[in-house]
Amino acid sequence: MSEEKFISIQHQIRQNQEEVSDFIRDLRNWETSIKSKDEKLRKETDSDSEKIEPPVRNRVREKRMRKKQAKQLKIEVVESDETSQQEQGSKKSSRIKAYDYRAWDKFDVDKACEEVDVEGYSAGSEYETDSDAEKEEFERQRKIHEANEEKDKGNALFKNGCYDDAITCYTRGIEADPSNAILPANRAMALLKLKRYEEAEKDCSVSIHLDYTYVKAYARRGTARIELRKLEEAKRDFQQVLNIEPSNKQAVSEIKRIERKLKEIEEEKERNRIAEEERLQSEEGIVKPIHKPQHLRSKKPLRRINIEEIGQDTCEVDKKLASKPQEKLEAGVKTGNEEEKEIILKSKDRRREETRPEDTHSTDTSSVTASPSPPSMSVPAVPQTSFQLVKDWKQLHKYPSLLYQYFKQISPSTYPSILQQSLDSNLLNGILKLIVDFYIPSNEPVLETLQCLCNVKRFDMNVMFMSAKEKEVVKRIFDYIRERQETDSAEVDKLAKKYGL
Amino acid sequence: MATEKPNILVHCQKSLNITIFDVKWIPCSARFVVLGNHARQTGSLQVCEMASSGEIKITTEVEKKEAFKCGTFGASSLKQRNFATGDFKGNLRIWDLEKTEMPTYCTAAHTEIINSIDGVGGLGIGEGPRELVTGSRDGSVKVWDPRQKDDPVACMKPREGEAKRDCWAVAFGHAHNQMDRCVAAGYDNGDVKLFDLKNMSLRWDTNVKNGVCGLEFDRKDINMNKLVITVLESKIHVFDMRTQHPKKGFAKVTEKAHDSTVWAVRHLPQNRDICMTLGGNGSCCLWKYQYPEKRVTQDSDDIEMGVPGTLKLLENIKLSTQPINAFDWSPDKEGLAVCSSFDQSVRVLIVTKLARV
Repeated sequence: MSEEKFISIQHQIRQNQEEVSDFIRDLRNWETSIKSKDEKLRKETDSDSEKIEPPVRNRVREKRMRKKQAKQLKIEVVESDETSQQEQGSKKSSRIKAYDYRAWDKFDVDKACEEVDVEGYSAGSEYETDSDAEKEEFERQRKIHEANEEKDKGNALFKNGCYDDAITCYTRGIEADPSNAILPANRAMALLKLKRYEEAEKDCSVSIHLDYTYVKAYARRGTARIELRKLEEAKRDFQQVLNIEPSNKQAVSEIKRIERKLKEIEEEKERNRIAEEERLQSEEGIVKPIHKPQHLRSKKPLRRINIEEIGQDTCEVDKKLASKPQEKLEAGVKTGNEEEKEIILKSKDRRREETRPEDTHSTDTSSVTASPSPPSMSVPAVPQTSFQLVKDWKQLHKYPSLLYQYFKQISPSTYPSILQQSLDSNLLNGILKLIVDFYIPSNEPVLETLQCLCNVKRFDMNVMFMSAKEKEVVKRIFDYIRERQETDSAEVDKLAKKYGL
Repeated sequence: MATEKPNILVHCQKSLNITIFDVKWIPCSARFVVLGNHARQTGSLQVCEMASSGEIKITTEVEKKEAFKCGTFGASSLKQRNFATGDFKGNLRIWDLEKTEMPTYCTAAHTEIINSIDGVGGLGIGEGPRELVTGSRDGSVKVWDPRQKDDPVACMKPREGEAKRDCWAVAFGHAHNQMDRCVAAGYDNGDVKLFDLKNMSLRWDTNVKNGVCGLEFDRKDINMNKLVITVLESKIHVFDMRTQHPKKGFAKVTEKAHDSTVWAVRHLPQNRDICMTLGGNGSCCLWKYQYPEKRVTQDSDDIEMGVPGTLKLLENIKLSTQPINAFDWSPDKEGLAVCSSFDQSVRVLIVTKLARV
């Protein structure tokens, strides 16, 4: 046994040694062959026959998690492509869910954008090994991606109010991807903000051309056209919005507004026409101031001219003027015209000049010119539209007594139909003040006025924003009503509640 | 029987004046690169050649500012044979070994030491782009494309607020087509994470209780087959990566060896079922993985789960009193290997009869 074992071990050792010496011999051969191969490789200055390599990982992929989050707080005017965003969002979130280590968390957006910019230059070499079709596809995707990046950047800038910069971003985006309908529409929004309406209109048209169902583009073009006074076209745009999206409230209200405006314009035209006619008619009656050197003037004694009085308020002025017989009066008086007043003042100046050498009543005349002369105007007719009312109100608001007369002729029951939606806090408070200043002193009934005022649109909102001082006014009115005891106190209380008391 | 057993022999040995951290064969040559640091904490990169006299000859020796920790040729073309290194300061550099004055690629990849580096896509191993992966003490694992400067193509790091674990080992795998690719990372607390680079997601993670010193896929360029993990406390875990159970994950077999830290594992390039493990006691163990009869079975719910095989110890040799910390099989000559130890020497080993195991 032991001898057998000894022999077998001996055999093993010999075999192993043979094995090793074989291996080493083999190794020598290998060494020489590999060294020559190695040498060849070292001398070769190569890299021309590189293997085809796929693109750099994660290059084309969007890295915009942060942007997404920020976008949720986005202001409502600039919206980006919702569908594409949703796609990206779902893609992103599914990825993130499974991922403990947020790889792209460190990629901030700006960097990503920069990368995209850099890519623009290096793209050529990046994908040169790809086939042409692949290359084109990559390029196209990159462009779209770049455009999206620009859009997001632009939206962020827009949100911050940097409209010019936003426009630059959108422009870059449009250059990168001219087929994107959202970019021109967003640029239009920024242009609208900058009041560059013509360009905005053009951009919207481009956007609509690219996507004729893009509601926002129509809406924005409509807005631009309103500003450009192309009301008919604007109306068509908003109608198109309604065609696509019948529930669009903005479009409904805009169309209403445009219709109202169109009506107003019509009226204005009518008024202008009438005013023109009036002007033409009255042209002959106006006496223009003339200047003649002393020696050329008539030597005839001055004759007194009878002045016709028009409107009850102007009489005061006329009386004053008329009470100065020694002055040469070379001015005519006409109703409610600014030009006229100027003429009056001018003539007065002239009068002063002329009177100075004689030195008569100089103090008197100067006192007349110094004091603000009340308007030489009559109370306008009962307004039919809110526009008219507001305009008249503006004209009259310096002269409360006229305003009172004017306002009183409006029947309270027509308030809602006349005022429509143009009741604002100024107007409401003005009316209330009128009541306190005029109705109450003259002991007139005010209950109906107040009741009807309640029915005007936007009344509640305006009451809500009344200041303490204004509330005081309301309180005074109600004290007055209670004193008069027109109706039972319950109804008055109910009304008072509506007025926020 | 005994005659079929492979033999491990030290073919030649050379003492160097540096602490050696990594050693790698230069592909298609009889030369290898030795990385380490000088006593004065500067980095040293040396290229050694097997001389025909059976000696090791140093052909190139360069000193750099930062101490080198690890290196790989994995992301280099066979023609260029550029060497990527990670150093103690967290820099990732790629060197042309013919012109070592300046690196061809340089980036501050991490804020702390790069413990481990791996490459794929180069040398004809692995489909898809040539990429490097680095694991660092700063807790992050980053994937790099040498064509893209400064920014990693992927970065896996703990969430803010979470504890940062020291990443000790990284390895590529699953690069069997243009898209698929995985990175396995081992951490000092025993965590092992498998990142899927195609989906940019964490595919699987587990804890092997002890700090992971080394891990390697048996092949980088095939559908994931086996992942071998070596840990502190003398254990080797082999996971069968073919079948992933939704709850249990991958099946594994654990083997005890070396009676100390198992520093690393290296698979034989010519046979993926044979691997060498390096022990902290200065020994090397050669293993063969034996597949079970059926690799896949069904659990009680008829869901497929993997069946682990067994590890067979083929040979074991004690080379030094110091840990063997780096080892590399020659990709060109079966049975030829180089290893380094903390005794400051490199040894060229030959392993016989591997073809007949």
